[in-house]
Amino acid sequence: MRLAPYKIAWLQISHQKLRLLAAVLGVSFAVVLVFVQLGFQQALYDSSVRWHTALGYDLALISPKTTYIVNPPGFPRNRLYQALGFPGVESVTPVYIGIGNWRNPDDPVKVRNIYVMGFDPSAAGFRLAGDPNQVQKLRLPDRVLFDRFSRAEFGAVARQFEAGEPVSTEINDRDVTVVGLFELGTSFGIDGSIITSDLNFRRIFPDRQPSRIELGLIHLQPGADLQATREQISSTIPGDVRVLTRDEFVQHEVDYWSNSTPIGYVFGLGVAMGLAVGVIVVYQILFSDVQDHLREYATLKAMGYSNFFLSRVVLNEAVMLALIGFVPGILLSLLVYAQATEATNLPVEMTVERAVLVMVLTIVMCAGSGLLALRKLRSADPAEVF
Amino acid sequence: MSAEAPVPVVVENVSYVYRTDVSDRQVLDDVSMQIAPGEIVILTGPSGSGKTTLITLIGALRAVQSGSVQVLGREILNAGERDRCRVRQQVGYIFQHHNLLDSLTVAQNVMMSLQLSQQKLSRKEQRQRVIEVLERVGLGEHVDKHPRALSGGQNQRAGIARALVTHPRLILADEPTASLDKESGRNVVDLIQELCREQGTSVALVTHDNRILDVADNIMHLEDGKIQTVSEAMATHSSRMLKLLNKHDPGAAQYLSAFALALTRVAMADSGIDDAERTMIRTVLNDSSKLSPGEVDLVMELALSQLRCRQQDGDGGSAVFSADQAQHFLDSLYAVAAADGEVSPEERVEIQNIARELGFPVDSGRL
Repeated sequence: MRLAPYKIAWLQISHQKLRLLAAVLGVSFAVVLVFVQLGFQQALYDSSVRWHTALGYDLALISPKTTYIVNPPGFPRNRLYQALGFPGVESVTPVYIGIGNWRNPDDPVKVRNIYVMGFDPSAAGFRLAGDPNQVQKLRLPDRVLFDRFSRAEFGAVARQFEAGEPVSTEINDRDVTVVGLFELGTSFGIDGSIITSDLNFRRIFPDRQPSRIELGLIHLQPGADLQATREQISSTIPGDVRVLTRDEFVQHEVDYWSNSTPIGYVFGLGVAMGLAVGVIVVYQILFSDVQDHLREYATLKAMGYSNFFLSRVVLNEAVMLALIGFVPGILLSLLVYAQATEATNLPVEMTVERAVLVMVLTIVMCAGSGLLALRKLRSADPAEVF
Repeated sequence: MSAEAPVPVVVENVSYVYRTDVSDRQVLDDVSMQIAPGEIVILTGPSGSGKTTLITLIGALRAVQSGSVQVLGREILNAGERDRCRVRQQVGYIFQHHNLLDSLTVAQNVMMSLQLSQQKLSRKEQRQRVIEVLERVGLGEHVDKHPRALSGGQNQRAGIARALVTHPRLILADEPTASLDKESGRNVVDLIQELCREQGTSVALVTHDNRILDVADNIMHLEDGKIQTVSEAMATHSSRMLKLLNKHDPGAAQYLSAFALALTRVAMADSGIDDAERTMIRTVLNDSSKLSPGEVDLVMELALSQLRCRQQDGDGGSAVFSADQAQHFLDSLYAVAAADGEVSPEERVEIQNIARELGFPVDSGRL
């Protein structure tokens, strides 16, 4: 029946059930707050690089003036073909990018901007567009593939298509037919997307020159040295293009959102606020808990228990509260994530790293608050507390 | 307790000042005292007299500022946290409010104290020891209940069990009866006395409850941070009380005084009072007067206090007072008599009578 610190801690926090419930809810609230902010922040960055990660390539070629992928300036297609001449380069894929006016097939009065990507259907790099048969259909004129995760404002295209109904509408006042679906999703800059062939792209955007592309994809031969090839290409071809690896290309986009737009700042602030509010909530809970038991702890000290023993009791309490509060916290967060994903089509997902991070944060917050609250007793003579 | 056992508590020249931002308040002023092995010492005094401060200093619950406090052979002045912790472990402390942990059962609360003890006991022995001590304080049926389920008196007894379970050589009790009614308070004090006598434990008990002073071997009265003699303290206290009685209920005061005077006169007539007489007086007072038991006690004490000196003189034959004291006594009486100008013959005769009754040598030169 030895009463070790963990046992006393458990008896202390479990003695009053309502108080325990309140404390656990408080910790859960803090956990949800942090999870939601982190989730949205990550969703922003994940969604903004959907294309960067879905496309198949080893090196990407963009204009140095490119700020983000939604509306990049063009550069000469020849630069991409020049890259083809370097050792280690297996193939290249020119990509055309534009913003078209999509007329809602269900409600033709409504017109929305849609993200259009055009490429040579025979080229590699478009595994995301589905099976090769589907891609081959793009060889016919005015045929497009539609992103089924596009926002609902573009019309119930996916549902109609899957029901076997032909879906036709206008892009930039030109009739097109949807011949397939692919899965990508929306981002803060893109509400919906379609993929088509390079020829169809020029039919939709008649003023575009085939010699100017917005994005170049370079595929290396297996075993080729990525960095060396990148160095070679960028040092040899003229400076009106930039060569980026996949990671650099992703980072380039993330940097844009986090540094050059208020959105990144707002979500960074959100995470900071979430953490701050979480710390305050948890501190309040632990502090008032220790405060209410201060007399009892002073009694233990008066009986001859050391500060070390008392600290261990409070630390145990803190960790227990953190762990108990974390469980409903993460479950609630998963619910919120599912809701948010459903409502926005943004990739709000729980990752193991984030779960571990928030759990460690919660424990640290709880333990720190507990020890801070105990500081008064550590330094005081027991007689001064009674 | 063997004769060589060190004195459990030695306090020498201890002063203590409470410092706040605006002022300093001296609560202990050069206090010295000792508690002998097995001795029960009661510290009394009005609130603010420093008695609680003194006992918390002895219990190492407060840092000693100046002077020396040795508890169980360990000096506490300038002792580090570790040494003070050790002292606290060896002293059984009974708090004003029971200060049990609400979330622990009574047995667990007692266990909290026992597991700090240096004695190596198996779990079974520990449990047994806890049950034993709880049975001893009359809580055998409540070992697994929480403090909130028990009465104030029961909780205070659990507090005593917690202090005594380690068989400490020193118990410190800070107003253990303050939150209890008269009867529970009495029980608690009797229990402390009984258990400490059994174990030969020394006790320092702080109280301002006069009803429990009788358990003490030694009473120390603190007044404004200084220890007073018992007689000084009692005299101040009694005269203040009598004055109060006279002021607020002069009739009762007169009635009681008359009784006391009459009793004294009767008893003095044959210069002694034996047990039979004493019992008779008490019976008469109890049965025929309308006095409450407390008032009967007062009348008896007032009467007896006047008789005591004579009786001792009559019993032993040896003088209670030294020649010097007797001379000083007589001088004082003459001074009083002379206060109104001169000593009248009646006054002179009365002084002679008093001197004769108390067995003083009669100063013929003054007659």
